[in-house]
Amino acid sequence: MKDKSEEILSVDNLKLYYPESAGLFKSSNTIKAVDDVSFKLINGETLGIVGESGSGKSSICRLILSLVVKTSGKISWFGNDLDGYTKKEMKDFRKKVQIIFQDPYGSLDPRMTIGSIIKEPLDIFNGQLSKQEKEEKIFQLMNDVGLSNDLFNRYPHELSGGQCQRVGIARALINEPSVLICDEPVSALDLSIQAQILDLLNDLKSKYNLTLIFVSHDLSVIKAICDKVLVLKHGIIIENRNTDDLFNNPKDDYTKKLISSVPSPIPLAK
Amino acid sequence: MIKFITKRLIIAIPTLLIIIAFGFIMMRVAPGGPFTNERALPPEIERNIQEAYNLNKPIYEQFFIYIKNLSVGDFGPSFKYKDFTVKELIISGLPVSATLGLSSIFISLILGSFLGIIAAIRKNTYFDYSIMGISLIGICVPSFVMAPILSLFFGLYLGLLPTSGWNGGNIFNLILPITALSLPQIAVISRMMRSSTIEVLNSNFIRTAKSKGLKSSYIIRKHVIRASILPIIEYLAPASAGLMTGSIIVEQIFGLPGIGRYFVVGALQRDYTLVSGVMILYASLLIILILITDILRAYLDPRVKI
Repeated sequence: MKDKSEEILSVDNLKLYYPESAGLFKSSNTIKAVDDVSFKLINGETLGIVGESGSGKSSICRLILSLVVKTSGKISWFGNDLDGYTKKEMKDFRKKVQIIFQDPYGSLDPRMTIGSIIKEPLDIFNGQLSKQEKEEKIFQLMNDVGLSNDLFNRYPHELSGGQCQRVGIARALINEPSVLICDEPVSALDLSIQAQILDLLNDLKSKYNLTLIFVSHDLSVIKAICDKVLVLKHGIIIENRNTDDLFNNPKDDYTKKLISSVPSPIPLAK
Repeated sequence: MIKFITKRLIIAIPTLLIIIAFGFIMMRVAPGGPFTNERALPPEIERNIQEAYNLNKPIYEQFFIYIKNLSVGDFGPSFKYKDFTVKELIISGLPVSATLGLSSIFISLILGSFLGIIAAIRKNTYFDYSIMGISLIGICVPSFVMAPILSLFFGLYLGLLPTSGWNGGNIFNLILPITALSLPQIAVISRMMRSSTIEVLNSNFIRTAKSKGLKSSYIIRKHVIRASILPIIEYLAPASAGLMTGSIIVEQIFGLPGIGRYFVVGALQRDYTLVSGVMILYASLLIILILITDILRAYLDPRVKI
């Protein structure tokens, strides 16, 4: 077991600005998608990021993974600045930090079978394994995420949204990462499937010893799964606290509004 | 799969029949005939010739005789090239046209897709702009303009390549016609490839591939090309049609003894059987190509069921 309080990922003064393409007679503006964001990720915790649409939640995820190029700021992995990483070190980092995306179906290559989608990361990072070992691993993982083995040779369009998201989780976990970023993994799914996927993530978290970053616009989801929460608005962190703390005693008006907007399970009971 | 292919081949028969009938009528409707000359023939001789080629019978009867002969593989005698049957003429021209057509389609596919992909990866750089600019010229300038310019420049001014002729299939004689034939197709294909590659590069599953940690060259090879080549595959059949019509002109300009030349000469001289024969050949080639395209598409995209 690793040290529980170890800080594995830290983000300092992260900024992402887009130049707004100006109209013919307008002067150009910059859009601040992420503005001066700092936080730390402690080993084993689940960090929630919440905010309305366009508040920069997904941008932060992509910045951490270097899927988009940051404007300025520092992202450190075990205290080492990612900017100084060589290609090889970066590859290793990508193996350790995985993401599952919001759109379960669109995120899978429609021309690949489920088996080969899950297998692909193994080929790059664990090429030394034999074909049989790889298949064993894939079947094991498909079991873990609740996919039946006969889906191995099927294509994404033959699966339901919930199954696609399970494939997304399986391919993210195949190389046993230490951090899993979940970028609104359940927002495209219906409520009962949402609950199943959330349960699954919770189970996998303890089984694979994962640290989670969980992005959502739905506070009830955040409440169910997260230890700590960042509340974002227009790219700025306005609250960074423990979940219970936040729900019992919201400080900012925006947070209060977000919490009060959560639909109650029994609509007229309010 | 086999069911699909047989079904398509069976449908091809009425399609071909309609094309044959259409061509047959069109040729007969055109003024003049194969034996019309500036000086009128003596009536007896004209009657004898017409009788020999069944031209004195009513049109529908001529049509049925032609179809009946076709069903046993007899394309009839050429009206103008005496002592030759249409089949012999086609067989003598086919190697030339096939060499020209196949190498052109191959070169345009490879070069066009390659340029398109590079332009897409380096979107909005000078490389991209220059490729797309040149390809615009390629689309706008028809091959009957490009061919004489190429011939003039490389053949006459620079003296690097022969201006025309077949010369037994010598590679140097082939360079200019193939270039003239491929350039418009390369231009179209590279533009199509560029836009489809850009679209695929922006799609969600490519983002997934990046987050898996795959190298970008690997992503391009394994994920992007398989998706972005689809529109090109679908364009393959119209491209081949374009190449066939293009080859008729290019063969004329470069004096190549291919089928295209017979087609033009046959049409001008009202050589009914020769024109019909070449038409049947072109139509069947296209039908087969469209079939191949559909099979390829189903192979590349599992969502397409055949």
